[in-house]
Amino acid sequence: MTIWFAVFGLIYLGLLGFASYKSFSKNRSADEFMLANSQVGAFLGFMTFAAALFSAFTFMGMPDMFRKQGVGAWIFLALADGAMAFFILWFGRLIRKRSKEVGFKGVSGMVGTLFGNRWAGYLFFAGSFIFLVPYAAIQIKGIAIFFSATFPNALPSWGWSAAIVAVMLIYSVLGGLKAIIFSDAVQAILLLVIIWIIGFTCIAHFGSTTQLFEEVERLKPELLTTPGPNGLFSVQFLLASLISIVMIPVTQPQMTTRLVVMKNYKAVQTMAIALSVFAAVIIAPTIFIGMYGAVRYPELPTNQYLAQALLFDQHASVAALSLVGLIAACLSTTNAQIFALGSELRSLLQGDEKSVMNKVRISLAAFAVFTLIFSVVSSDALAMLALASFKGTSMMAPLVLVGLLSKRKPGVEIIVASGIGILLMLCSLGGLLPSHILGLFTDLWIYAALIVVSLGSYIARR
Amino acid sequence: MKKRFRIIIWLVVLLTAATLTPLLMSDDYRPTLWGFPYTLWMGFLFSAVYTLLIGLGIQSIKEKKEENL
Repeated sequence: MTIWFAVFGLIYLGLLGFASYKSFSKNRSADEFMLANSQVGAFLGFMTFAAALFSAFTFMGMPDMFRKQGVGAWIFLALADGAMAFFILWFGRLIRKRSKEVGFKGVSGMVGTLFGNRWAGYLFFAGSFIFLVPYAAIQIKGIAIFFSATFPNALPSWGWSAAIVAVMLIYSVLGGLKAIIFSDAVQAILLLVIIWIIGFTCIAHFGSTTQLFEEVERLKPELLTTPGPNGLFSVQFLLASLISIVMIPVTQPQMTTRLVVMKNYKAVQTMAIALSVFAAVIIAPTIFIGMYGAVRYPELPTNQYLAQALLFDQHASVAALSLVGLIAACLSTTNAQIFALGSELRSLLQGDEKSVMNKVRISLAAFAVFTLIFSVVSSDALAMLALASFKGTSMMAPLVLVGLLSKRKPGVEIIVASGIGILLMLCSLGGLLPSHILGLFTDLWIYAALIVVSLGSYIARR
Repeated sequence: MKKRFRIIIWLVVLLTAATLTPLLMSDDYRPTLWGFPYTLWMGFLFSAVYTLLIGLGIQSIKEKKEENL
């Protein structure tokens, strides 16, 4: 497997290098570097959106979620992604329209302009930083732990993390958003092919899907229905996660930027429909990998199960491709997140273009180092930390939506309410607030309060 | 916003609400075609309907030429 991994790994690194080389130009403008000149077509736009969205969480977190929590995981992610793809039709049009009116360098700058209050922009940037860095970090950590377990004599876990961050930083800083988009296209295709090969192998082990599910039914029938063996997929949980996932294009700046940099709205429409199909196609094989794990490795810890299912039970060449696919999934999402933080900072900075871009390049390195440090110290609960990140950023949705929808400048009360919402969410995640209040999830209460304040303010100021 | 697009938005809202009802949130296992449990088949069906509604939504949006979004 090591030789196969070296071969595929070198091909993959070569493709990343090629993407950076083709995108590199000494005399690039800031818009070319950060926003790819806003000329991204439907295919590349779809690929980069999909690669940024479907991360190591899809490859590692979803099979484990199906294995432990059952088929309700489909409702949790695939259906929520379908709803999000529809939301993109409406939101993509809105943000493109407003960005033509007020200009777009990043969501933070745009929100600051729309509110006529720079604190709105600072709040969005702070929220993005607080919730995106941990998400990027846990993906790197997940992959690093996996690699150090697979190659125990090669590098320690932090060494793999550092190597991943270094590769990501080099090709992002050299090639800019264009290089990231090209490499995302490669990564999305790679991820799709590998995940299906492994999915088919898992079905083949049992002979057919019927026999696979019969075996699951015999061992643990609760996995085949909601709310699952641990009761995770309750209506409340699914509602809270649905809101968080649908709001991703609004609140995760790497996604919002991808909607704005597409060359026209027609391309956004094509991307939305392609994304809804892709979501189903890429999540479907994780059901089989998860159910395979539920039958063969029900008691193993996550990392050992994934090592068995994705590597040791596969042909050496498939296992090697899995490893490359894992790196690809991790890189495509984390570089999108870190690069987006750079874009957000740029949109808040003032001064001549050259000095701003120098600051942005330095900040990209700083964000990458933060992510690396966090990846060394964070927990490895990939799926739940990813969800915490979605929930945290979704607290900023009213701020962005009211800003975009209001014809007049929205009130400062929305900025204050969003700041309090983020603080309460952090307290809830940190255990300082109970997870439930009067039987409802705390995050649902915070959403409700934010909606009431934002809607009230919006109507009052119309 | 065109009336047809508004209707489609409401259909999506209804579909989304339906995912949180016993239509999908069934607590018993009923094996169906190819052994796939009921919840998964319904989940696949709902995913397909989302895609269909996105397609219909696109059909119903007519961009004004001068907007050039």
